[in-house]
Amino acid sequence: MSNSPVIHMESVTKKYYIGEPNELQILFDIALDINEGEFVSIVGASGSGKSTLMNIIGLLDRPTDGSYALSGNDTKSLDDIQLSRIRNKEIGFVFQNFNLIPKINAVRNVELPLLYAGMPQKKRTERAMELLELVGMGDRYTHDPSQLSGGQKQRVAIARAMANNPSIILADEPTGALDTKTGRMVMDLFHKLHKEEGKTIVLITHSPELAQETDRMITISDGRIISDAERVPSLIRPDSDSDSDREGADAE
Amino acid sequence: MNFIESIKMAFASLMINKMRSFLTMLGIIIGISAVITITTIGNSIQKTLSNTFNTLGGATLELYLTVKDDYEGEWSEEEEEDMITLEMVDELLAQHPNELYMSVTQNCGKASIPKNDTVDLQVNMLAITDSQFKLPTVRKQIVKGRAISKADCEQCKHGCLVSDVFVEQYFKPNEDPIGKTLTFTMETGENYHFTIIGVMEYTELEKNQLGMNQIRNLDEIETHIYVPYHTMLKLSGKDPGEQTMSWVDIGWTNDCDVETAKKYCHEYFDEKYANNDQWEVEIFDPAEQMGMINTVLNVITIAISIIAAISLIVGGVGVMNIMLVSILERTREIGVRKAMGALNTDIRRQFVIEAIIICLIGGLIGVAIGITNGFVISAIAKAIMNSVASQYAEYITLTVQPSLTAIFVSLGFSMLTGLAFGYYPAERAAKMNPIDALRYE
Ligand SMILES: Nc1ncnc2c1ncn2[C@@H]1O[C@H](COP(=O)(O)OP(=O)(O)OP(=O)(O)O)[C@@H](O)[C@H]1O
Ligand SMILES: [Mg+2]
Repeated sequence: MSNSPVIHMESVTKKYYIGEPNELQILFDIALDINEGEFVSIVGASGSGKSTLMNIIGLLDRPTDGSYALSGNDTKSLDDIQLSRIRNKEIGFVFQNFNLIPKINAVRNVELPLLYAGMPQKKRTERAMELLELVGMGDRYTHDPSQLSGGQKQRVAIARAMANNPSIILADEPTGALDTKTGRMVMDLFHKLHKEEGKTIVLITHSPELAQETDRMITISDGRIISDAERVPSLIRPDSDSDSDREGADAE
Repeated sequence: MNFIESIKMAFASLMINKMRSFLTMLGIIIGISAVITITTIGNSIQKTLSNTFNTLGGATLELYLTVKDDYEGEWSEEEEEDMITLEMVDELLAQHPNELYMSVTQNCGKASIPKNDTVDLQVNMLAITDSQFKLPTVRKQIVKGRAISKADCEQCKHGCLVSDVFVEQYFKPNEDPIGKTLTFTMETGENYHFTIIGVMEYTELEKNQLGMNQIRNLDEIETHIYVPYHTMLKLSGKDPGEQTMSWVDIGWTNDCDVETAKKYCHEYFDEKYANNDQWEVEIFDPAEQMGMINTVLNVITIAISIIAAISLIVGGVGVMNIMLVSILERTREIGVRKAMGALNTDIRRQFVIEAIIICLIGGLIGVAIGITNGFVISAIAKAIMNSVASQYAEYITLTVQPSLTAIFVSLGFSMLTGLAFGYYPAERAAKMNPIDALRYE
């Protein structure tokens, strides 16, 4: 299992307005393998196609061409229901703009993947509260997204992404809307998930420093992978986990 | 995700935007309350009419002589031998003793009773059968003594029933009228003696008709005296068996119903008149007249209800419109739900249930308003009747009777409206591509 990659892409392309005069190709001939337990960052200029690639990885979108196998299964043959099931069970999304559902509280937001997994209400709430506790949001259960700060929202979103204990976490610029300190806190959460729970994490970021912290950095330019580099071991960041955790909590 | 969860979720999201949810319901509320108001009024009119009708004496069959359809001979007045005889009626009743009875009131003319040396009281003599006071149709109540019994008739006894007004006229305030014998001088000059066996009370309407309010002198009022039918026949020199009549009222007891009573009468008289060339006995059922009125009322009620139900379609379009807006507003939410693993069916169900709940709550509120309207209108009608036609008020019991069928049909219809007009928007939401929904600005 660990030998075959969880994510395996061969010559994946993505085009919009197909067949029209303004046909637009976003991704060109992407070949990508990501192994189980890897923490990968994707960097590149704005509009280069990072999110497009991420959405294909997360089964929110389909490639125009090429093949994509998730955990060894070709995704082309999957129908809507199967795609939904995989998104529900195997993948946790963290979005740049949080994408919490407004007007329902933190617990209910975290419950969403559990709801669609068919877990009964009581167990759902228990699990959601546990997860919120884990991301340091134990005192904000009943707050609506509108009553939370950006960092708090993103932590709720991370709790939600972890709800069904997925093996893959996809984070599209999770720190983009946050200040450095809060971003640090969120980043530490990912490190924790990666180290302690062995999650496969794919992270899109514009920050070279954050990208440096990951095992592997993929650079995309104009829809093509132009570099794919293992982290240089000497660049291990200083171990400041616990400090920044406390800082984050104080900042609230 | 199960059904109850979907319902809870739908309620939660309707609660988020209470004002909008209510305004969306308004169309449904108006439509349903209109339907319920109209059907309640229609139903109540029917109920009131039928109550009133029974009070005023509808619960008997009237049997009368009529010329046969296929009679081609010369038309002539009915002869004595063609007529229905009391003997026949008695025979018919004897066949079904606990089911049928005869209801007869025969005016025997005026009589006078000397009160003292100077004043004679004038009365109307009415010959009745024992069943007369058992009828729900006769609201007179025996306030003292007893009514005329079967034995009184069969044995031609000389007992009579007087009225409360007569007691006032004839007796001293504390005198007991029961057991006193009265002498009646008929217009023909004959004198009859009857002993008072009971006293009945006039209704207010009857007192009005007697002229109690206009006539100053109590002694001028002509009251009614009831005597046994058979006794009166005997006194007039006829044998009860030979008494003929061109019509007779037949009633039925609780052991029987109108259709069976009709059947019995037909069976008996069809056979009796089978050999009569010209005449046969026809049955007139006043309730059939009621039936026709009811049919007309039903048609009117249904017609107006349909028009009101059309307003439901307008309400439904309103629901659809709001659902489309709401789904557009919540496109991102739909995208997020799909990213979190919601199936198309989950999304569709969520929005369909929202639409159905809006319509169902609207329907329930509409039903409540409609029934309330029924009561309010009945109260107004009562007030008007009391001021315009108070003398009839006691005969007309206004009954408010919401139509259960209408309530269930309209609730069902409003749910259907929700389903019909909610399905398209919900389907649109369900079919959204997750990434497009997520990227929606
Ligand atoms: N639905 C769409 N229709 C047409 N073009 C699209 C669509 N979605 C994305 N694009 C185009 O694809 C290109 C890549 O977009 P993408 O969101 O992947 O960029 P990105 O690398 O994530 O950029 P950023 O760092 O700013 O988020 C953009 O030029 C965008 O205009
Ligand atoms: Mg992007």
